[in-house]
Amino acid sequence: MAELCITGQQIKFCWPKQSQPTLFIPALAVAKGERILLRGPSGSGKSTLLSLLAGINQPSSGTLSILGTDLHRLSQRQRDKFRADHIGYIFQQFNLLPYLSVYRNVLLACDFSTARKKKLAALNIKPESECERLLTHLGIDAKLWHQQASQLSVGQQQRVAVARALIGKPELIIADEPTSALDTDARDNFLDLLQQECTSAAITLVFVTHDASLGHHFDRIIELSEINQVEGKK
Amino acid sequence: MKLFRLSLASLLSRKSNALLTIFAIAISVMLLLGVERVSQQTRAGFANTISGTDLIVGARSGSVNLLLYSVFHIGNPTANVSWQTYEHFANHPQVEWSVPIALGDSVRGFPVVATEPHYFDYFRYARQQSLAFAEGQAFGREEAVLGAQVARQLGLTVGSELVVAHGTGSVSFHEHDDHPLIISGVLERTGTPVDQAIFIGLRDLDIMHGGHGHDHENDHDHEHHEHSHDHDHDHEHHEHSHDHDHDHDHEHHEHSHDHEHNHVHEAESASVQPPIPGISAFLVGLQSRPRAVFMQREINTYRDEPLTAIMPGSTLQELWRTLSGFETALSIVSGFVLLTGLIGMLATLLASLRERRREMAVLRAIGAGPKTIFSLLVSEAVFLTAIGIAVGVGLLYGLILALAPWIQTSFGIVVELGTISPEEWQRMGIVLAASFVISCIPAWRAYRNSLADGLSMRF
Repeated sequence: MAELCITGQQIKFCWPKQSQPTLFIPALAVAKGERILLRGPSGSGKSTLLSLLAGINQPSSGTLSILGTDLHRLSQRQRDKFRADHIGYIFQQFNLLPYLSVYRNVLLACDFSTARKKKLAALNIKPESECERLLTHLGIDAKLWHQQASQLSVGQQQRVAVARALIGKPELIIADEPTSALDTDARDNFLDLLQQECTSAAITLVFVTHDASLGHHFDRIIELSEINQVEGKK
Repeated sequence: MKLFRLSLASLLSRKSNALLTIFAIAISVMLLLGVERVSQQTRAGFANTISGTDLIVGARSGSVNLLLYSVFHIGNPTANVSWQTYEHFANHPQVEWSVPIALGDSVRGFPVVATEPHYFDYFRYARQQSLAFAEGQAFGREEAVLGAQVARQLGLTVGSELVVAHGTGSVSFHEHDDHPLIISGVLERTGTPVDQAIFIGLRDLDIMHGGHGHDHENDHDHEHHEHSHDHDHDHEHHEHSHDHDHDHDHEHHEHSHDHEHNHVHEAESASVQPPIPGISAFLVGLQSRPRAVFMQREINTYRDEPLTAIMPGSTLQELWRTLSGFETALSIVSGFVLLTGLIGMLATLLASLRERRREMAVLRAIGAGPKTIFSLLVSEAVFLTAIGIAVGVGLLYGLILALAPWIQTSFGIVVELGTISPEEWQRMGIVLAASFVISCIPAWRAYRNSLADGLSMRF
């Protein structure tokens, strides 16, 4: 098997003030460069798992390591830095800061991460030109670049969010139902672009959805209800 | 720096809230500094009303009361000081100079101060500044000198006629119509109660009050006979009157200050007709300033007439202390206004947290730590307050520029523009520190939210 991007054993997570754990995953493994569809109905612990993967929350017990780094060994600040450097995150919607221009929204990811800037510098690419390349490739017209993000359509905003997640080539992209607010055409277009970018930069993609019909776009489907062994959940 | 730019951009997207917050803080800072400034200037104005006078002497009364009527021309003397008593102290070896004043009349609400022409030579205000004439000169017989404000408000200049009324109200029952005075001079503006006063001769006041006539004088001595002759002459030849009067004043001046002469002719001086039987108070300058305490005691224990002598400086301070309660009340009110401004900012910040949760989640996702979120909110509040303070100072200066003339004419207080004092910097620092402390409340909540929410967007 190829090198692993995500490995986890006996991951248990319990929200504060709750007696029942939300999540118990005996084993989780995602290879580098793999494109995963994580599927599960709402309330199955998707958001919880994502916040664990992103290093926002820590497992109550068990180990979770990303790119060979054990997240629970890092301090809060180190985990924030790790996320900034290695993980691109795409929300369902409202990914952009409405008061910044499209351009600045994308570059924001570099502002918070010197690692991403360094990676681009090593390839002799300026963050600005990479931003322009990504936006162009994702089909955002150059005349929209300096408009405020709030003036774009939802579909355009989601594509700008992809550009921001991708800039500086992080190892892992986590997308939390990014297509749920898009219509079918926009959704397929969005998925194609995301796939292309991830493939060309060999980025691992964890894509969360409740929509099983998207399965054919991905290498592998993980049914959360199958790996989550919390009692009382199917 | 990036964080600051981000904060600024975020703030600009909430312009109207930000502007209102800035405005509220600006107003409260303006009040806070303004109150302090006005009371300081008032205090300075107070201290500047009189200087160079070592003692003020009046009939037995409270010291503040004596100060109020003799210097501020507020209220009335309880009793008069007899001319004999005045003469006694005017000729005292310790006394370098003395100026009698008699009060009680007014012209259209402006107090009339009856005195001797050498009042203008000895009266000092602020830092030993003497009175200067904007035009004309000291009054002579049947003449008057106007304070700057009186001349402006009544529209009178040198040569105009003035009718003095009895009583101090602006509506008087008895006007001395039969005895109009000619304006001989107008004083420069001083920023003291002198601006509001009308100065006339003691003898003119006495004549207006139907005191001893001219006939008495004729009987007494040659000098005075001549003067009364001149006086009669004046009515026919007005243009000459001035010279003669001036002579008279000069002689009188010398007479009352030539100690030796008075000592020698003490019996005689009693027989010289006084210009007026009683005066309200007199100002005294001493040969040696440190003797003031002894002189004060001597006057206070004078056996022939119950008197009160005050040292103007210390009584001014006493008067100020009685007014300081008002000052404190104003400070407290302006403090509460500031508190209201800060609470308003707190409310705005807390309300904006709800709509900004999304923004916080985005920042978290791209790697901003909870501490970054915390400092983002605190820096925003401190930034808003700093701008508010700057605007407040600007408003204060603008207001002072706009209102200073009005304050001076209405209250006689000269409000100077001046630079920002260390105390004012300190107050502004306290406001800034308070905004920092207060902003920690929403910042802490945002910090907690960003930990609890994780990356889920709960609304």
